[in-house]
Amino acid sequence: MTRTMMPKSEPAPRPTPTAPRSYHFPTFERHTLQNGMRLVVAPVPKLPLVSITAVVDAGASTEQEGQDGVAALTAQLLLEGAAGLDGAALTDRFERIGTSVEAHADWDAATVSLTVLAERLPEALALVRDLLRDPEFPDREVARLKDERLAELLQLHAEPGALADEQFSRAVYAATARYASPAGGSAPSVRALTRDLVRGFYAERYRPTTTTLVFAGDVSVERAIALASELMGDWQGDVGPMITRAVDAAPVTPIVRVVAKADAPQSELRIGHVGLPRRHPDYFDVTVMNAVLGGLFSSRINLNLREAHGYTYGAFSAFEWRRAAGPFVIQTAVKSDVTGAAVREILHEIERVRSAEITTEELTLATSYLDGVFPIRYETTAAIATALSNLVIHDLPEHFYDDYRQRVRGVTTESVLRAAQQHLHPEQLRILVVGDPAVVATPLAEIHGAPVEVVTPEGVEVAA
Amino acid sequence: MFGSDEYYAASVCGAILGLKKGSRLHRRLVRERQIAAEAQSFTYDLTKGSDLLVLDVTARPETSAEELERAVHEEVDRLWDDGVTADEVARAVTLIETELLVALQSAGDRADKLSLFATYFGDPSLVNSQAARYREVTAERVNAFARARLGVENRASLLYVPRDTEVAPAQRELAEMGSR
Repeated sequence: MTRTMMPKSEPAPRPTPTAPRSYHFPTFERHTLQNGMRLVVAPVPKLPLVSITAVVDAGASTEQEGQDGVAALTAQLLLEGAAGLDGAALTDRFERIGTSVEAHADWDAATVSLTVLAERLPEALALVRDLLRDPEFPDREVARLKDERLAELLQLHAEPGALADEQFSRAVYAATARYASPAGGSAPSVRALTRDLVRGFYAERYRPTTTTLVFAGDVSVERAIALASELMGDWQGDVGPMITRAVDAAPVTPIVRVVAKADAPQSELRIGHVGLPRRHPDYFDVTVMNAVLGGLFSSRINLNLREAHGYTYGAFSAFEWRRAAGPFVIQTAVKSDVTGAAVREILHEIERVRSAEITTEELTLATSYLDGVFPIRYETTAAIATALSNLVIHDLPEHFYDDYRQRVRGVTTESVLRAAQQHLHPEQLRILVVGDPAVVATPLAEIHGAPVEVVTPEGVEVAA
Repeated sequence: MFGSDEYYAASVCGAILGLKKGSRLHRRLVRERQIAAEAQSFTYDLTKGSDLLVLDVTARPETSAEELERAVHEEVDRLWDDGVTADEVARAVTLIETELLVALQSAGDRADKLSLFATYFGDPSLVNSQAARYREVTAERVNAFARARLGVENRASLLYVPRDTEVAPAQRELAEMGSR
C-alpha cells in the first residue's frame, strides 16, 4: 500500500496579509514553594510544547579562589550520572521522551534546560529533578571532562581570535578579579579541579533557595505548581555563605599589549575597558549608543574600518552584560600593516561619539532595529524561557520585556551623548593586539602614550 | 520518495541509526567503540525518483577510513539481519515529532515548511498531517523498508580522506589526548 501526496490541480486562493498586530511579551506568574524554590510560569498554549529551564545561582562568579572552572565543570557533570544512571542511560531516558537536555554554567548562573511535548512534561521534570538533586559526579567523567576542557583551551589558543578574547580579559581586569580569566577556567586551574571540589561546590550552591524553575509553553500555572511541588517540594537545605571575591576589579594604568604571533598576516584587535553591570539605570541609552558606535553592521566603526578604509571585513563593539561590570570591547581583525591606522580610527570614533550628538537618522536606524527585532526574538518557548531566566538572573523589573520597545524608543540624541561621555573612558582603554610585534609594535607606540608590552601567547612578557 | 509511506519508514529508520546520541551509530561507534567522532543520518527529501538515506560518520584521528567504513556496514548489516524494535521506533518518532513542532514555532521555519508542501504537493496544509504520518510508522514497516532498500547491493560509500600534511603541534597534542 503506497499512499503518495499528489499535487492538486487547483491551488487554493492565496490569503492576503492583515494589518500588523501590536506585540506583547507573554504574561507570566511567579510562585514560591514551601522550601524556598521559586517558579516562573508563562502559559503559551500555541503548540503542545513546554520548555523548562532550571536556573541555579551557581555561576562562575560564585567560585572560590583557586577553583576557577568548577562551576562550568559541575554543571556539565550533572548530565554524566544521576539517580543511579550513567551519562549514556540518562541521554537515553531524555531521548525516549523526545528531547535532549543541556546543562552549563556561565558567569552568573548554571542552567539546565529542555523542550518537550506537553504530554511528556511530568517525565521530563522528574528527570530534571534527578539531575539537580541526585547527581553522582563519577570520577571517570570528572577526568574526562577536565581533559575535554584542556583540549578545548589548546584549540582556542591556536585561534588568534579566541586568544585575543582571553588575553583582552587579562588586560582589562585586575589579576585577582574572577573576570580576568575565562569562565570555564584556565589550564592550571582546571588541572587542579577534583571530584571533591566539584561535590563541595554542588553542596554549597545547588539548593532549593538558589533555584528557580522557569516554565514556558503549553502548561497552566496550576499544573506547573502542582508538578514542581510533587517532584521538588521535599528538597531541603540552606545555601552556603556567599563568596565575597573581587569579580570585576580593574587596574588603573592603561595598557597597550601585543601578544606575539611572528609573521602573522593579520592582527586581531581588542580595545576597551571595564563596562557596566546589567542593572545599570543607563542600560537603554548605552545599548542604543553602542548600536550606533559599533553594535550594528551599519554602525560608525564598521562603516569607517570596513567601508571607508577597507581595513577589515567587519568591526564591532559590545557591552557584555553580566551581574557585575562585564567588559566593553571593540573587536576586529585587520591586515598587519594597517594595525596602527585601524587603532587610530577606532580611537577617533570613540572621541567622536563622546564629543557631539549623533544624528536623528542614526538614532532612528538604531532604535527601529532594536524595536523591530524584539518580537522575533521570542517566537519559541525556549527563547521565552531564556528571557524569563535573564529576568531572574539579573533581577530585572517585572515589566521589563513589555516596556522594552517603549524604553528603546524613549532614547534621545542627548541621552546617547550623555551615555557616551559617562560610560566610554578613553583614558582607561586597554589595547590588545594578537599579531606580529615586528610590524605592529612601533605604530602602536606612536599612537598611545603608554609603552607597548610584548607577551607570549601564554602571557609571559618578552623584551620588545 | 518524499511524501510516500515508505519515506516515513525510511526517515524513522534513519533516526534510529543516526539521530542524536542514543542512536545506534552514535552509541556503537562514538561512545562504545570510540572510533568515530560524530555520526548522523539524513534523507534528501526528493520528490522524484528514489530518495537517498545518508549515514554521515566522521572518523577519530587514529581510525582509518577503511576501519570506519567496515564498522558502519556492520551496523547496517545488523539492522538488515535483526530489524528494529518497537521501542526504538517509539524513541525515533517522539524525537522527530518534537523537532517538527519546535521548528513550527518560528515564522521563518513555518514559512519554509508551508512553501515546501505548497511547492511539492500544491497543498501547504499537509504540514498539519506530518506528525500523524510519523506516528503511523511501525517496526514492521521500518523492517520492510530496511529489507527492501538497505541490502549490500544498494549501498554506496564515499570516503573523504585528508591529504597528508604536516600536523600542527596543537593538533598533534589534541590527537594524543584523544587517544588516551
